[in-house]
Amino acid sequence: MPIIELRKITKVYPGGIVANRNVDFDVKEGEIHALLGENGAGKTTLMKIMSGGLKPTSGEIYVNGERVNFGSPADALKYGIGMVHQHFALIPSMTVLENLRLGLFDRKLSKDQLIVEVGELSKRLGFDLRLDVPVDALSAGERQRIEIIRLLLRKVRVLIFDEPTSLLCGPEIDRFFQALKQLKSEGHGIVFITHKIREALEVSDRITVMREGRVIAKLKRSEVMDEEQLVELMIGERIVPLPDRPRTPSDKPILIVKDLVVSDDLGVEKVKGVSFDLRAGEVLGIAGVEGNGQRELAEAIAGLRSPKSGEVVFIGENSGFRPSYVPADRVELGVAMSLSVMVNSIIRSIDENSKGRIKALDFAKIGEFAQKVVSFLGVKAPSLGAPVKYLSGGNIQKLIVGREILKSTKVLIAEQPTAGLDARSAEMVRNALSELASKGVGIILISSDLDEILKLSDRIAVISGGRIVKIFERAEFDPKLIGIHMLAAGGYMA
Amino acid sequence: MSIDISGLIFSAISLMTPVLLAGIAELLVERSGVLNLGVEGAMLIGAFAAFMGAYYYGDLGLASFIAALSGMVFCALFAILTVSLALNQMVTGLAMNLLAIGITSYLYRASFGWYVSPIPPHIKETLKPIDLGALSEMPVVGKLIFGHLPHTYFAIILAIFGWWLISKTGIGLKIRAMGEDPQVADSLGINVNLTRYTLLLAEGAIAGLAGSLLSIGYYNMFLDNMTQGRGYVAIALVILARWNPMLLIAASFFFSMVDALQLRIQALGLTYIPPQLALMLPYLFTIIVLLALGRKVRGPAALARSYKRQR
Repeated sequence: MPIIELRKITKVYPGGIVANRNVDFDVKEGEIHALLGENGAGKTTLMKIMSGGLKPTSGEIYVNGERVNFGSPADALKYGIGMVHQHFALIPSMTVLENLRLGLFDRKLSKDQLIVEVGELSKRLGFDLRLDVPVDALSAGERQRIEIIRLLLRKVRVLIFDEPTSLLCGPEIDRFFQALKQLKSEGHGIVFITHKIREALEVSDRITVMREGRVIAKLKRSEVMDEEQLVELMIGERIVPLPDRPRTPSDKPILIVKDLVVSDDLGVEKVKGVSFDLRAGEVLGIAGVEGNGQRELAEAIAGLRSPKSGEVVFIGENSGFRPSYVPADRVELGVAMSLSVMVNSIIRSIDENSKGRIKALDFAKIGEFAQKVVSFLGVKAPSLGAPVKYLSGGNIQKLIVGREILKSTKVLIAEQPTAGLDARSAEMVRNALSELASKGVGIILISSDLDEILKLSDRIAVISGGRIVKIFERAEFDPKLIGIHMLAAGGYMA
Repeated sequence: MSIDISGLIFSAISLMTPVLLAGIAELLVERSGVLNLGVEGAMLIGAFAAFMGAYYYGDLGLASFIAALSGMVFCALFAILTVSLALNQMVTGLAMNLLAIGITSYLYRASFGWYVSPIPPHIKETLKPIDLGALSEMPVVGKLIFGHLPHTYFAIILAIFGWWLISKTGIGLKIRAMGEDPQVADSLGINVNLTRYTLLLAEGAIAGLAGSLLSIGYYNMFLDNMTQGRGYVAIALVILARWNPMLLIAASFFFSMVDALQLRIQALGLTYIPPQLALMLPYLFTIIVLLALGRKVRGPAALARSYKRQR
């Protein structure tokens, strides 16, 4: 008998979007169950229903054969069902230990007992948590481990992970998979939401494929023949990557960064004297383990954060120039969640979409531009007037990337532009970036996906501990060597 | 001209009481992510209710109880509007303060007539300091520290209790968590709404009590809008104290020192210092200190943001 079973789940959001249609799903003891699908396929909605975060419009939930109703995530936890969301449910300003204590809920444990128990769990899973550090200072991988430990402290039997690898870099992904296998061997049921077929094949025992709110296929691992089969199930067509673009960056720099020093919100220096230039028509990849100053560097160049010292000069532009920017934190910096898709599409180019001396909004133009943004990468939205909060994470990302690319600019800073996107969308974004570069725009690409950086970049600057430790020309690209430099002086491996 | 320093400190400790009481209650509420500007209104309601209780029943204990109860009811209304209905906290707080001014002024006139007589209605007795006998006979310190109203000691004990609650207990951890991110707190099974209701009701009672000090403690009558922004001062002092209860005691004391000083300046009857200028001093002091110390202060991340669970 499965630990938990969902029957005929349908979910209609207040905005009228149908996210799940008659979905059946279950999780058994000691298995890893991959939930595979494109952005907006309804995977996250289904799992939020299973973990008490959302109420289904109709359908039933059974735990050990008993019919249950979850009013809140806490209810689901009582039945041993817990979820690790894409946005971690941690309080960044508090320490790891405090965050763990917060999650104890009705379990009464003294501080010492808690430390002992955390130590035992960490040992079993091969984690090394630093308990007295504020979560702020930790990498995505470490944060994820806190969440796992916290769920285990509550004695959950089913752990749900929403796109758990999207913010992790190579070695961290391996560690995560090892932990998953350990959990499985201890008898836990695991749901692994992903759009990455290779990862689903690597660890899972069963694969459920969703498309447009429906379950398209339920397969055992042994029934899967090859990746192509899953791609076709997921999207119903094949992805054809474009041939590599001709690489003809000019020698003319359009952006010069000189001795840049930037602090984070707490005043800690994160960028410690960075200098480089960016040429027209060039993609400059910035590779590094997350948290080594990439975010602060991007924000300083984008004009969102004043540097402590140093210069950012856009050649031939006046000092008020702001480049196009795709932020890593799409919810916090990328969109205004309660404003419409239309407003969010033009929010960065209001002047271009105004007319007359008083700059009255030109609604015909706005509608046209918004439509262009939406259709550029295929944003799935109920209407142009719907608030962005009704869109799935991947669709919000597509909206932001489309908006920043379509807006006329000479420099684009793209931070994790394909994070959380499914294979087809990610490929579309990469192609769009490539095309933009061949039109003469200079692009700074910051990504934790080294393959992506290797593929798109003309040069790769490796950042470690807030410093650029080496810049590789395309001819010298070597993943191993780049990896070694990523972990060089000061760079930390979480 | 001379100013008696020990007298100054004594009156500062006494003046500090209502601000510290309201401040510590507001501090705890703010740590949970709610900004209750209505603390001003709750104090005014408390001042009015206490006076009415004392006037009609002649019992100051009962009057204090009525003050606390009315403050609580007032804040319960704020809680319903902002916690359950997730209305904008600032707008609601401001509206409720206007309501408090209106309702107290109206009821006062409804009870005592529309024309202000030369001698406004007053009560015969006001709150008495605790008699600590021999303790207050101690040289120098005895007179300063002892011989205050019980409220003063209660305020200080409450602030220390607040510090302990926030920084040393599991409940405090949960309160801080919901002040940083109510959604996360909720997903961890922490009852955000219940906690915020509890804190707001407690704040109402404490602020009502703080307000009662004005009408039945320092004065023996009620005047229109007699709190004169002391609730807002309490809110400013919470920021000044960086949401730390221990620092709040210090901040309240220094604010009250300046307040006591300006009273002395007025009493000196210097013609070249207009009384309005003296009256302004404590507020000017607050602004200057905020400018100097309050700029890099980071409050609870979710402060004043309404939270409603997604369905």
